[in-house]
Amino acid sequence: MKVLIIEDEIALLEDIKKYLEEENMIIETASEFQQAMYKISDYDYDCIVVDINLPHGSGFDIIRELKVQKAKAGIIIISARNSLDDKLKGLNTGADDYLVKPFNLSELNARINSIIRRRFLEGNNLTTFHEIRIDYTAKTVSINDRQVVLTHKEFDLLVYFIANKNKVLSQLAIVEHLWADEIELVDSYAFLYTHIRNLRKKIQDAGCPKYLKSIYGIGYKWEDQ
Amino acid sequence: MKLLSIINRYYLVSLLLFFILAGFMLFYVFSFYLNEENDEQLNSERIHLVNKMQSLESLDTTSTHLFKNIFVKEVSPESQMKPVVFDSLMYDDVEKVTVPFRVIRFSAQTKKANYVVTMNVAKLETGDIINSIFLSLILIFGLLCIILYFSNLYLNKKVWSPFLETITTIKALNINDRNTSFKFTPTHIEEFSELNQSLQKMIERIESDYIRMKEFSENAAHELQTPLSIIRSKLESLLQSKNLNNEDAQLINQALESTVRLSKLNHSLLLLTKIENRQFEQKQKVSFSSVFDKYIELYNENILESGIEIKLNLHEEFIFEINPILTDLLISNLLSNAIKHNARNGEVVINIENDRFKIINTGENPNCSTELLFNRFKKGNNSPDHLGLGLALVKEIVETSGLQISYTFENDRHLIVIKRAD
Repeated sequence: MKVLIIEDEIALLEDIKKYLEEENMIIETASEFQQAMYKISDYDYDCIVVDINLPHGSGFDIIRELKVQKAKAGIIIISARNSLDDKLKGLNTGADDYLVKPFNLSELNARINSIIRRRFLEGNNLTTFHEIRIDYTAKTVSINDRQVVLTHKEFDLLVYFIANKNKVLSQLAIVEHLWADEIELVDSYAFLYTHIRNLRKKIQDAGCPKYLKSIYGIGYKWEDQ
Repeated sequence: MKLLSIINRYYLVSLLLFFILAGFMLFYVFSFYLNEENDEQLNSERIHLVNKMQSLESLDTTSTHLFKNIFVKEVSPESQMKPVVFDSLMYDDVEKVTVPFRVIRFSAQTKKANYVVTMNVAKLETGDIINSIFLSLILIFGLLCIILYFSNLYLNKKVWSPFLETITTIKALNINDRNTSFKFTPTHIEEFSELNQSLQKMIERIESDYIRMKEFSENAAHELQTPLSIIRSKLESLLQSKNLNNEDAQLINQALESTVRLSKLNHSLLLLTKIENRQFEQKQKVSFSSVFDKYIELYNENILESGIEIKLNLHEEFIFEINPILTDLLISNLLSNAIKHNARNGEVVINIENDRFKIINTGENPNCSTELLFNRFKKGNNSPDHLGLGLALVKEIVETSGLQISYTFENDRHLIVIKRAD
């Protein structure tokens, strides 16, 4: 997977690059408008992550240029602006997703994965992780060729964990991912714990090793043994 | 009270004082000239009489009473007296009252005898003078009032009209709406023209300050997010570090959680500022029941998980003209509050009537006045996970949208009523 990150904050850019490279993505970066325009006209990407406020230009112009070029790349806007107007404008210009800063790197990773899947793997929208097979279109999971029935939240969790394998995921990051558009409950960590316990039980009952590790006081980690 | 009425009031009071003073002055001036006139008359008659008497032998003093106002008395030839003039009161037989007289007394000689002559002339009664002055002043005063009244009507219409127009223009002014151009009607009256110019300048300055402030708060919030993003991504990267013991990792995680809280706080404050600045002006008719339906569905999973039962009783549709973004914020905040601060397996009841809706939910006692909970950063039971801005946001929305809110806690139930403002 080849991803272009356009972000003017070098410190942030480096972290994103490092995180995604560990997920076996090929990362190109651009930190200003002109550089970004060169890169999008010279290479093809699977996904482009673009900041709206850039030196010497706007991320919207880059998205428009991509649309002119009929690029196949999925587009994710990352912006500190979180008003509905900004989001609508971004999505109307042709972006596939809009992520408000500050965000979790694991969240960005999950969204990039999701967009690339939707864009390029249509019809055969599957991921395998050892004995686990996820069918995104049908929203089903089978382990050792036997179907495991998961709830909507459990499915979401599994996809998120596998996308961010070998990463320490804080409870907060997982809660934000799982209940992004919904309300924060007083004891959301307790609800999260319930979901994780159920998910863990289901996949271990189906014969998986203990991939999902708890990290005391922090959160969870999906380990690829 | 209108400016003109106040001016008139002062006019009338000062006129009244003036008229009283004028009355006194008129009285004394009149009296003085009347006396003068009387004295002249008496003197000329005296001279006439003295001359006449010098040609006579003697006077028949008994017949002098023919003249009502002349008394003659024979005295010894030695007693000469200079004419004296004085005021006196005498009884009038006809009118049966004492009336004032001006009297002259002098000695006059015939060829043979010496006499003292007293001559008087009736004075105009003081009461009569006062009455006539009073009457004429009243008439003048009344006339003035009438003139004042009509001139006010005219002034109000002509002279004050530019001022009234200026007020209308200012009233219609909305700093937020850059499209409504405010233009004062030009006027020939110097003061008003100056007023309009100063107002124009002031409004322009306010407008530019307002825009700058808006930009500042937006930029401040926006610029804060960037360093926050960097802190967050650095902490997250650090959390992935292989050679990190669990204690350190927990410290990092706590810092990470605080960063998230900080950026949420920042977003909420920015939103509050935007609502306060009335940046959500576009209104449309919204049915609250459909907004509730939307959010109940969205929160369905949370609701199921918390074991809370939600009942929506639609007695009548409540349709209200309001900004749709604010409506969403309002309902989602109220509903999430009702779910968040509820008891396990509690309930939320929503009643919608034609001009109000009520949200009743079970939950703990807030342990402080419910009014206080509308203040920013005020939290009931001090739950540290919440920003304490939810109800402040709700109140701000309600107040800028022409609604009213009340919040009470009774019988272990929170009751929030939102209704059309009176």
